[in-house]
Amino acid sequence: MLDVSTLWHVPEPDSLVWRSFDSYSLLFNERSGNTHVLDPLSREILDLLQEAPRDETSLVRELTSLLEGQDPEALAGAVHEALKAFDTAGLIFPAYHS
Amino acid sequence: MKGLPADLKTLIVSPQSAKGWSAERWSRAVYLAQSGGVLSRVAIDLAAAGGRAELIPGLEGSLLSAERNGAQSQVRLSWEMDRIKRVFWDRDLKIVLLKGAAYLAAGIPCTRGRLSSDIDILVAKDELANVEQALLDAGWMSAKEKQGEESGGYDDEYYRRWMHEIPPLVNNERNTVIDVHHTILPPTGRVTADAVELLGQAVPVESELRERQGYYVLCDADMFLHSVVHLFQDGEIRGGLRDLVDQTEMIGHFGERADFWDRLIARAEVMGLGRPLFYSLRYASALLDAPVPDSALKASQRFGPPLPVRLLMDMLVPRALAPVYLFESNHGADIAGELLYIRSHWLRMPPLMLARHLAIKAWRRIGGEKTA
Amino acid sequence: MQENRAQVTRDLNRGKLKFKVGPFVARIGTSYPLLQRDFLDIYGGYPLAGPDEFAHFNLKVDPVSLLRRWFKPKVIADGGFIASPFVPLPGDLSILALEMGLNWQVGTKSDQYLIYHSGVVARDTGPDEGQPSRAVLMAGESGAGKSTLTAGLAYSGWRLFSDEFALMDTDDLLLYPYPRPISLKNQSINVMVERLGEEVFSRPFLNTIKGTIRYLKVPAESLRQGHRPAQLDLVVFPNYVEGSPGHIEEFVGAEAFAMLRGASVNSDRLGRPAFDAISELVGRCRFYGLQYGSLDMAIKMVEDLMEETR
Repeated sequence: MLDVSTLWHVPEPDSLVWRSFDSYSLLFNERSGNTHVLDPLSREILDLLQEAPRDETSLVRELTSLLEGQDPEALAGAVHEALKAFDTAGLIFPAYHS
Repeated sequence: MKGLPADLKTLIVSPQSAKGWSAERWSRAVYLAQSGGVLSRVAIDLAAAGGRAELIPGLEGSLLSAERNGAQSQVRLSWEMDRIKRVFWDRDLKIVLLKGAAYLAAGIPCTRGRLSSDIDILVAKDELANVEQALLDAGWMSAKEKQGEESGGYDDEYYRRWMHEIPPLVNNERNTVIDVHHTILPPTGRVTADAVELLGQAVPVESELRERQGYYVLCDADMFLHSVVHLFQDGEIRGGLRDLVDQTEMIGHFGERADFWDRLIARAEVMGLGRPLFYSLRYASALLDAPVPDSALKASQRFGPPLPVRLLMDMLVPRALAPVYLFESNHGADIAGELLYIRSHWLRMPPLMLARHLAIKAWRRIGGEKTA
Repeated sequence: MQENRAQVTRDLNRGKLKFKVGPFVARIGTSYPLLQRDFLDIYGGYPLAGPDEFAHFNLKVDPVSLLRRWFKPKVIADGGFIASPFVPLPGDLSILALEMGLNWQVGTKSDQYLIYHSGVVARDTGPDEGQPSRAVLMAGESGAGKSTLTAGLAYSGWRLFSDEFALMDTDDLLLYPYPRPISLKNQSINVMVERLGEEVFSRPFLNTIKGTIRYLKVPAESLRQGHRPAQLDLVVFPNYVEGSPGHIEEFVGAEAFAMLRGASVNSDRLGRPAFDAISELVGRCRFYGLQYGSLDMAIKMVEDLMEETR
């Protein structure tokens, strides 16, 4: 079951190829053959998950303190949407050991 | 016995000796390899043999194209394994990969340049409904529904009741097809395979790669027999060159293992798959020089058909397997394919059921409905 | 092949005709006399390939049965595929079966190139083959005026590379010519016939699924230089809007990437080489959306932009 305490990680980050244009990041996933475009917030979330597995709650907490002055509710919503999109795209996977 | 076209055989069996060919000869051979579904593999083998780019002008482009297709196919297959794993990641479920996915996971060399990205899995019969539901919840749908037809109805029921799988499911986003089986033979066939035994003998995949871990594959003898059944009993032989190449590779790969041949023969006996095994060993060695030991060929003789049938098969099988160049006549292949198709239907169902199946199809045609 | 019509017809009959289209050699066979005539009319200026040239594509177009050769003729293309994508067409439209058959093969079996669904024309910077020509790629939705603009430029001093598929080598990012007859539809036919004259057009083909079609033949110079590649400098997305005074908008970065990737036919099949090529091009080329109200306006826009990106 997936909820805010599910730990997510980025499997095989070496297979991700990055290019940056202005504030956007292009991402090619060699495992899937898919190309993705990421805005700065999504990029930050993926970077954090790549650094170490995290759950939704701690992602929101970290990003709230990083982006002072942002509406916390909007931020929580954006994190939730980003995780859903990453999961669908197969860029993140639930971590087996929490 | 008539063999495969000589140049096609050279490309499959000993590509390094394809040197000094004229443009005319390469054009025909590449066409045949493409028709037979083996061009990607041939392209990879020619590259490994060295000097591919220097063979003749213009050829390299087509080979590079084929090589890229093959690589892409394997990426897609491997990714599909990852995605299916995501669906079942927190369930204690034994999933056995079959066919192309299994060859990839088990590292059988026939996987190079293999073009199909469809995935076949085997699960215990009492898990079937759960597995289907989980896939439907996770973005797969009935292949027929996806094509705009209604699901359910006679074809659906036919699958579930008489065949060894649920109707194929397609992933909504990736358009990849998954077939979920609970055995490798139709339960209606005169021969049946014990599903419990298949699952029990399956072995865990050993791999460094995440997407392959946790899966199972059939044990070597069963994996080989499954391919054999698919080619010589279940489906159409026409267009099946790729399958015979798979079998030839497995013979090379497993053949060195201790007792493989004894186990294979014994297993075929138990599962009632002696006849198709006889055909596989016979044609893989005759047409593709598969290294089948004499002792195994001899042992499989007892599964062979009566002489007249054997002579007929010797005539039909090579013709049905060999692609024909577009600008050469191909009547023989058509007739051989037709006869073998009738044979495979007959083997798959008891005669009375076959009549029922054909009658329902015919009836629907009269009614103007689409046939499956 | 124009010089020897009798021989070409014989070779078509025997399925032995090999001719060159850009970097490809196609081997064609047809026993259908009307198709032989249409083929010679439209492809007459193409170079034949010699016996020592590898055939990339093989295609036969013949009546579906002996009966349908004479009564309500119907023909079908055959490329020897297990699941053939081709459908029968009326005999009068047999050239369409050949065109579609060839396009389908090139579009699905030429993954040595990164292919864009787009028109391409190029300007030679000098007669010296060492100097790369400079190309403009025209992409965008069909019906937006891509073909008309490509045709207009091809007959005003530019070299025609393609109207259908742009072929790019993923190593050096050069574009290779793939000059095929430009199929013009319905209203655009009159506009172009008025401009270029009858003699560069095929006969009209009526009642196709896209209405009336006439093929605009490839200029002789473009066929003669059919082997010379070009470097891509400019990517435009033309859009014809009646009465428009003209409007140009530049695309950069991720947006330019997404638009060019959207124009490619096979980037999914290529994977990494396509990703690398397209992201490299985003840094190297200029990308513009063009809204135009007349063909002359669009031609001037392209020529001015090309001048600026020098």
